[in-house]
Amino acid sequence: MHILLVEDDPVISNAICTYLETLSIKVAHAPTLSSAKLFLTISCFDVCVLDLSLPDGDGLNLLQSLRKTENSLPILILTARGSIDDKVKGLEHGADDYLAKPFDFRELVARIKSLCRRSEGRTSNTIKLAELEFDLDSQIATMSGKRLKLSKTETLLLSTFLSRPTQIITESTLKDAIYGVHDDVASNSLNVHLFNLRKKLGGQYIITERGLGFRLAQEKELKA
Amino acid sequence: MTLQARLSLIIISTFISFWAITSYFSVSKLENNIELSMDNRLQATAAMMQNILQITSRDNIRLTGNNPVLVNDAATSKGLACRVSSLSGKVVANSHPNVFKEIKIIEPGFSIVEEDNIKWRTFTSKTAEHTITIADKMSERSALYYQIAISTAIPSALGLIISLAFAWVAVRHYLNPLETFSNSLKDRNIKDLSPVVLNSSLKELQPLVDSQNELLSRLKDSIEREKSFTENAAHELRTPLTGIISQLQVAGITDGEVHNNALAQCEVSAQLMSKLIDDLLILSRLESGVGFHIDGEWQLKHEIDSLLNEIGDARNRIDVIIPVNLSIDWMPSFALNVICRNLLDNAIRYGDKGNIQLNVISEVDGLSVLVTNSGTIEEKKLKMLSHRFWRDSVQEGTGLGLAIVEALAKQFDGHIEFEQKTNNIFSVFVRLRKQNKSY
Repeated sequence: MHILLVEDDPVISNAICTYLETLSIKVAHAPTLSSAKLFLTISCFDVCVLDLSLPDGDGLNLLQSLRKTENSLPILILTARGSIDDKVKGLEHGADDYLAKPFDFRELVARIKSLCRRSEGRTSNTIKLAELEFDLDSQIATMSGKRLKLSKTETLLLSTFLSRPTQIITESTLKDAIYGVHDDVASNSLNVHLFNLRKKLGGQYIITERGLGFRLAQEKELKA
Repeated sequence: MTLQARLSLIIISTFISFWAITSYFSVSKLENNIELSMDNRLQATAAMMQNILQITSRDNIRLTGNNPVLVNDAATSKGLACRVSSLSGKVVANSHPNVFKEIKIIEPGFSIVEEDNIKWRTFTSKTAEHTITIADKMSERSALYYQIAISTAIPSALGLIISLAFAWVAVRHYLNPLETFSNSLKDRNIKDLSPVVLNSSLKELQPLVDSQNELLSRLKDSIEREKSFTENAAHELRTPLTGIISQLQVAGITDGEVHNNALAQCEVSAQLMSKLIDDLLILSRLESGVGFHIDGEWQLKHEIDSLLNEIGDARNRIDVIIPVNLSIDWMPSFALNVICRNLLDNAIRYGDKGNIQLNVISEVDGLSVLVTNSGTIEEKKLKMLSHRFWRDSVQEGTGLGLAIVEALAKQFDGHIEFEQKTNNIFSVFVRLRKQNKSY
């Protein structure tokens, strides 16, 4: 899962990044509206956690501009403005969820997962594809009931593919999802992790689309 | 009692009193005049009779013999009664034979006699041969008096009633705007601070309505400012609180360097929260007008030196120009300390890395503080600088430093000015004036 965190307070953003990364959730942190806009143009995210009071403007402006361009990125507003009026205003501007500060991380994570689930049209936190099953809560993958021994990066890669089951995912999106937007990564390290994952899943699960990227095989392709 | 009732009562009682007094005097005068007129009539009638008797032959009167002449035999009980008698008391002529049968002698001049429970007013005059008595009934005089009095009083009373009715209507009409104003205030919801709208042509009431509306407007502004301040304060306090809580949660699930970093971050948030609470308390104290206690005279140099010591390493960038041996006894050292600290803190935190100049100037009527540093602030942001909770960068500081400086300057009849010079020099000037009141 790849999260965009738009938060100007360094202490709060540090805590959120650290906590989510312990759950293998990759976080790109934008302290201002302008940096958030930049991140949104160069990378893909599963959820955006958005603070409203930002140094260069109101977070609602970003929300409005995203919805105007019909960007359906799930957005969770995380702010100190906790009145009913503020909540209603945020949701009416196009937010998918609203959480007032101070918050509990368990609630924040549950809401983020819930947003992901809804945006992917799932009803549970377990994703199934033929014999493959992946539990988003425990981050455990099984093949025909047997647990797969995946590394942290391989787990991130698998969850990225499973969260976009019908999309062709570019190499840069995969890198952002597993290394984060800020990290510089050696060009072949992604291929190494993909090779290992394919080996553990079986070659037919991840398909290379030449010149475009990678995608998850569809159920009928796997049966064939 | 309402103003309308009170005013009506005053007008009614004044009218009635005036009417009663004037009526009393006019009626008593009327009574005297009627008495006088009637007496004159008696006297004139007697004189007329006297003249008649002088030109009437003596024999004619003697012809009557012992029987008196009935001059007015058909006379009724109304009108004047006339009796002519000889000097010896023998009645020669009598208009009312049944009158004065018993009373033979009536003294000359005016007198009142009573016979058969009827009072008569008489006038008696004597000639060489006769005594002439003219009389009228007192009851007829009274009847005439009451008749005249009533015919005079009825139009006056009607006039009085109509005047009172007009006065009441006028009072009601002209006091109606006042009543409407009073009702609009009385019926107003306690939370309703909208202006009072009064469609009235009463000019005298307009200043009251205007002042009431101004007061309501100021009250509304004040409540909104208070509400906004409270909301902002709550919002600002939530941020470090969230930092502390979230970092504690991180510390709870991590260990090693991450754990220690989380605790260190907790401390950062706790310090920010502490500073925020201190600043809010100072601001609240300044606004409540509680003021500060001056504990005697203090040395400016000593205060600035201790402030620079607290600033730490950044003090090496600060050039200080202050008057030598300046003692101050009209403001608390705390106030100057807060002003200089906040200005220097802003210059260090948000200015460029160049030198900062702190200049404290002694004035005849007070003190000026000028802090200059390298840096640029956009023109449009200059007026935002002293707004509460306004920040120009990523969450840092409390956003209250310059608001406190401005509030302190106002406490000392002073002000704060920001100036951005073209050569990348930014300065803040604070003027403080001596006051007579004690803090």
